[in-house]
Amino acid sequence: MFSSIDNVIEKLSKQKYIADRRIGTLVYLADKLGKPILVEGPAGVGKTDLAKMIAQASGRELIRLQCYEGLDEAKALYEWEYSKQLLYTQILKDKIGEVMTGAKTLDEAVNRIYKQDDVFFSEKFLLPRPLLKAIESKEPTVLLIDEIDKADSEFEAFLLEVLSDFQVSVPEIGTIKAKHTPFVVLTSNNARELSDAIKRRCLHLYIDFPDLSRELEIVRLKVPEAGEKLLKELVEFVQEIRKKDLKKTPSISETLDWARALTLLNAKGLGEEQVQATLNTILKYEGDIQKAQRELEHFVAKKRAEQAGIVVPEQEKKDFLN
Amino acid sequence: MDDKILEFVGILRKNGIRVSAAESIDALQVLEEIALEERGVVKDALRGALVKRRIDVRPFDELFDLYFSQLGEVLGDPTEDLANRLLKGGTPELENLSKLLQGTISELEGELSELTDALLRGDRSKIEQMIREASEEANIGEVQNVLQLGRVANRIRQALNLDGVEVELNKLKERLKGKGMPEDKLEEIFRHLEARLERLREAVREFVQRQLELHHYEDLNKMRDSHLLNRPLYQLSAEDVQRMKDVVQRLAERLKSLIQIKRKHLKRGKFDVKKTIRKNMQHGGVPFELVFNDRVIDKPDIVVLCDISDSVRNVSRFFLQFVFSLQELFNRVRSFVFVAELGEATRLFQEFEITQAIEKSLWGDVVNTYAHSNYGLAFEMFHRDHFSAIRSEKTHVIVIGDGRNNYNKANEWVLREIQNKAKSVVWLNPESRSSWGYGDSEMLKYLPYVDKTYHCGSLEDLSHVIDELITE
Repeated sequence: MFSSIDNVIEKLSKQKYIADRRIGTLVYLADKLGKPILVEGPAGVGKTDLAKMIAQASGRELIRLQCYEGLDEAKALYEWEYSKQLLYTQILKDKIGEVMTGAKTLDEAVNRIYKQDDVFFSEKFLLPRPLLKAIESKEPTVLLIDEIDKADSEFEAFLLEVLSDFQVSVPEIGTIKAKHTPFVVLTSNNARELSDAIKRRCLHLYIDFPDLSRELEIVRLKVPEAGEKLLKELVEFVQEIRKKDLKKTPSISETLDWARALTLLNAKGLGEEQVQATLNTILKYEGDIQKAQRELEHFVAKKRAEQAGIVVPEQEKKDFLN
Repeated sequence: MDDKILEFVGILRKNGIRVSAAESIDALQVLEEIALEERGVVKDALRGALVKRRIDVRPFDELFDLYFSQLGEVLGDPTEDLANRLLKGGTPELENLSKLLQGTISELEGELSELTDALLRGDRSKIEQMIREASEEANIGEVQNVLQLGRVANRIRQALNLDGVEVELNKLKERLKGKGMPEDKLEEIFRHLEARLERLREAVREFVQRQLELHHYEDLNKMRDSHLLNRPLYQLSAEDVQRMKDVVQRLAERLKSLIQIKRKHLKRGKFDVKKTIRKNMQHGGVPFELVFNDRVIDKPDIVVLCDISDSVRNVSRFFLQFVFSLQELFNRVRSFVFVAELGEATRLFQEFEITQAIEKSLWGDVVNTYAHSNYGLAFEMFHRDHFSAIRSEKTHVIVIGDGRNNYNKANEWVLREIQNKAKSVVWLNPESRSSWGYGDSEMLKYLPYVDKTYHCGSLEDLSHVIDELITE
């Protein structure tokens, strides 16, 4: 799928996903070794997007399994289509009658119907869910198991079989083995600790909020219409505010929203009135917004001072050794 | 290389990071796929294969740096030959000086020791290698704790013969002076050399420290935490309180996930006939899918009465932090604080962030903290103003205090009424049971009206109490 770490980064950036070296390394390795990759990190840093972009970059189909509390095998793997089976037996009543004619004893009748068993428990009546779909697929796929931490721990145990052998056993049919190992991405928000068994099978990637230059790059790429001065100030401010003690720190997607909103309002920098009013695009709690407003005033004042050209002259040293 | 990785895995394990055999095989595999020249990539790859818990990430990073790093950064600058460096100055004067220096050094050829030579030439790897050799000689393996650090470092310095180096440098200085090197330049060159020597001394200490950390990384960290867990709460310094907050936060997280699991098992209720029939209409009434009722689990109400006089303040502090960190597990939490008068602090917790709210309520934002404890008065005020906070049969009342009443009226009748109305009354006392009832302690009078009492001296005790409260 990928030929080198740089190749990963390049292909992803073509899909407008800025990957740093760490992400590139791990994706490359996961691909090479055929291991699932477990992505953890705070909400809104692009964990799910990573999987989507890997699929797009490699031209594979993305199969997504969204986890939630109470998710079970029937929803994740496969399900027998009971209503279809019932419908067919109704329609085929005559045919069944035919099969049964001439049976003298109950025993014989049971045996005859038993022989027809396979018809009703064949793949025709099997409804494949994401996991089975990924395994059955004739083309290689990218399988995204999203928010695995939301699922129950029993489900996790069940995933182990799938992830280690890439095969699924359906009792009535037998074992179905994957033709191509899918590229598996699991994401977790750390709502609970995952079991060691599942972690052991994965390569682990922790994505944190990006640093200044990377976030700048991301915003520039995704909101190309925004002015450069606005971008710089905005990203700097968001980075600044993430260090503060907030109830909910703004994520990348919120930075993007803010950048879009301000561009629409024609703001050229953070010093303008609209900015105060749009703070609620990045912050979702009243207390946070108030804190941020104070922060914003400082920030703007500082910027003004810098622009006014108050530059501290650096002292020149004339020491021939140092 | 493989050996080196396996040894590193050994060190990780020794320091409390769980690495399974399968994972160490992964580590070897990933390294086959990447170029080893790029240090960052190697680190990322190994981290991805070996470290799966977020709390292990930092230890891993630090241990990686310790294990795979050279002393380069500490040794700092001496990467350049001193004479060459002078040459770079560009002026004819400096060029002459450089020649003079070089000539003198080669004159002294046989007399200078290896280390002095390396120092003059700025040969960093040579210096590093010598430190390693000297530390073998000085038995670095026996460093067990920080106290021995200085001693072992000194032994290594002796093995390196740093004093000898100094003597040799002085000799060089004399020789240069004799050859007519101007005084001020000479001074400057030797200031620089001295700095190099000083960094070398530093580096030795740093090296020993790294070895110690590498092998005892976790011990050093863990010692601090477990120490805090069992430490009597009234003996904490301001710095301890700061660290303790993190510990409480972590304990609360752990407790929360435990409790959520327990709750989920309790949740599945009775078989629901009506819903099952409705759900299976699509299958012609054949019950393929069964439906169960969710059992409604009552989240408890909590009313906390905290004594915040000096003697109990820390217990109150951490208990409040606990309770409010776990707020979503309760239906409603109301907290009252008192010394003599009683006041409600719940509002503070809605308006401020937890730690801030605690500090505010403990330091006089709600009631006067400079009074003498008076449980009787506080109870009476609670009965008069806030008795409706107790919803019958739903509320747990928790009193935190030592019961030392300064010989005031005890008013135990309030507690009796509270007990009649509330689901339970729990008393947490930081004093041990043996001292209850002595001096001005009124605990024995209150005891008949309390369902459960706990001696609550340390954080460990606190977390047990909370666990019991929520899951019973």
